[in-house]
Amino acid sequence: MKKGLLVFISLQLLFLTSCWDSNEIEDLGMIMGIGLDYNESDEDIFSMTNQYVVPNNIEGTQIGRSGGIPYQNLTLTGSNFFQIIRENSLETDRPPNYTHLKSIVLSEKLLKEEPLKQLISFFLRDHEFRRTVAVFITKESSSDILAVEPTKEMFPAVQLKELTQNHDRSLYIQDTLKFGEVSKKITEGSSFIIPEVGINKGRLRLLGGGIISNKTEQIAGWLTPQEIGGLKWITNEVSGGLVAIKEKNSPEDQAVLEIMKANTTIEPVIKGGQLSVQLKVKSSLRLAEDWEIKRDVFQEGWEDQLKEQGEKVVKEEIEHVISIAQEQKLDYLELGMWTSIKEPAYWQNNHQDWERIFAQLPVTIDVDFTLTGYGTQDIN
Amino acid sequence: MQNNQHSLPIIIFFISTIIGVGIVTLPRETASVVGQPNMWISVILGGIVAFINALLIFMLMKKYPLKTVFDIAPELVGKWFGKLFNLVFVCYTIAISAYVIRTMAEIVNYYLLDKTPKIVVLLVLVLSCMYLVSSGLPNILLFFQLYFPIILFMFLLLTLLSIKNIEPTHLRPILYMDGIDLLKGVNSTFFSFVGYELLMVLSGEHRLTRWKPVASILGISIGSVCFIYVLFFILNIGVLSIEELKVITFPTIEMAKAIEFQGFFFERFELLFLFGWIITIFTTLTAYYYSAMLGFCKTVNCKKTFLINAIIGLVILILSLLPSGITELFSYGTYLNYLSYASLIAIPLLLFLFSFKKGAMK
Repeated sequence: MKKGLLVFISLQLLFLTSCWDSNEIEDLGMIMGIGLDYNESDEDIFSMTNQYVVPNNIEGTQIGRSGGIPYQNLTLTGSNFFQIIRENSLETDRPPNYTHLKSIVLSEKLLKEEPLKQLISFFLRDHEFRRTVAVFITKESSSDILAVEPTKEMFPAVQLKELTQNHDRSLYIQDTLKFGEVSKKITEGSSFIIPEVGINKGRLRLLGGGIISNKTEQIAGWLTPQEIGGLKWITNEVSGGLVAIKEKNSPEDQAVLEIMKANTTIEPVIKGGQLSVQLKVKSSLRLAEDWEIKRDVFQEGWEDQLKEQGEKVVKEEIEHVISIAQEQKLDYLELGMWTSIKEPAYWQNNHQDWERIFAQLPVTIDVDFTLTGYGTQDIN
Repeated sequence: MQNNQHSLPIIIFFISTIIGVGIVTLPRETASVVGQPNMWISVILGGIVAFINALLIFMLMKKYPLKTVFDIAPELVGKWFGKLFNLVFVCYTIAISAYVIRTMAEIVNYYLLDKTPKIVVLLVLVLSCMYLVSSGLPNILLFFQLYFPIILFMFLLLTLLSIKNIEPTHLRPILYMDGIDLLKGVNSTFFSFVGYELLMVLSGEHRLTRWKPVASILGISIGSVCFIYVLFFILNIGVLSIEELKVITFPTIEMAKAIEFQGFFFERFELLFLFGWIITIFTTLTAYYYSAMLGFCKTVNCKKTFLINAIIGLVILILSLLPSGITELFSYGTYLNYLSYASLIAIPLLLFLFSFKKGAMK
């Protein structure tokens, strides 16, 4: 009898358990992306766009209706972000939940007015924001970016993040800049590039990048897509893309090389107390498109000329980016990082003065290409 | 041979006891002191210091088989001084229990249950611990063995998932080092190895007198904890970088938060990791709770342990609710370190010296 009672009581545990913090998933307003803007008004200087998921409009789910837009953007203004988030509750019944946030879009104007450090401090403090959220900058207003209809994905915010995943397809795409990395760069006190996004014929398009200065934590300039390519060569991020060569300087005789592998090493050298940097680029490429019909790839030495010209193109791109960075005195090329790794003693003594050293740093560039093939067929 | 059969449960006991909050907070504490990418060397140095300290404790306990520190202290330094020593040790175990569970409550509060009051989280933990402790040391050892694989599995999983996020440049330069800073770091890493001093308590029920088995038990336990710490340090530095470690409150959890695989399907691993980690906190609490209860009981010569058990639980609970916030909690941590010095180094050393005197008198 007593045993039976014990079993009965124990079984009750199965029915009586509950969770204090339970949240019905249907009641959450999942946010996919946020956009931050700056307003020219006295009181509510910030505006924040939250991209909510509208589960009822997702096709393929049980309750889903086709035809509706599966997301809804709410733009609200306020003088701080937490206030804006709480004000969302005045307009929507589902409290915003940021645990599955994909992208943050910042507008140029915002970064001109406010330092990034202060802007993101709230988002770093809150535990709901993940370190893997992708960060973007735009010259348009960020609420417009989040309103662009996505092409393949369901949500603009997801499409944005997925775009940077293509960094191994094109030289002009920078790898995803994650929220955690932004925080890392800021704590380390280094300058960095935020990928830029814009609108092209009603579609989202990745453009170059915005330079964030380590001195002001604000936007200090822009890089074009081509310059992003040069930057990627320097920071060893190239994992695909192409090098186009204009032979004999005429646009008709083009040869396009596909990058198969690329590796950059940065070697700081100290001679007589003077620092210089040797940049060595090694890459293997393949002939992908050729307008010079007379070339015979079965003849030995066919690649010599291409190799030389390709190396020249890349070298010029790299030199261009270095000259921009040195002019701005902003080291987003990671040269300082490599100096601190490879010449720690020098770095220890001179890192206070790095800005000046960097601006006059002699950099020797050495590009070495290997042409490994020409594809499956060569029409001749 | 008898000793060999006993050694595995004891090794597991030590490992489960030693690993606790350190794995989550230590990277930040060390980074703020050392601040260079090779700070994991400090962990190894801390482990060596801990091992030497553990051997000192063993040399003391070796002389008195099947007795705990609470038995020998009154014998060696006189009844009242001995009781004082015991009380200091009991205070230390209670304080460390309270500190550990409060840190856990803060983390649970931040990452898992923001609406659940802290007292509920703490109460559930203390009550279940009370029940486990009341069933005696053999059952505690069994419990530790039951959960040990889960703990290891969680650590392994976190390691495997984080490896892809490591950036090797964060870990360099390895060979360039500022030795003085590394030594300063030992001061904080050493405390993450506390737990081996419970040898003084375990010796009451296990015959730990021979050099070889005990040295290997201590070596394996401290060595494997050291390995896990170094692994987590390398992961933490590699994923988050030194400068970030200085400003993140709970680096290991943030590291788990950085894990993401394409799509929605694998995110929020930190929640899974926390479940595994709470078990390590529970085992640490159990070990210290048991020591506190035993020590208090031996000091006041009690018969019924149930009342003592309840009192200890209540004291731990109240102490753990004392700090108002996380900053205050961490500042209590420094006071706790002084108490650790007293019970880890001062008490064993004094008793050890007195043991010679006693021998000479005989």
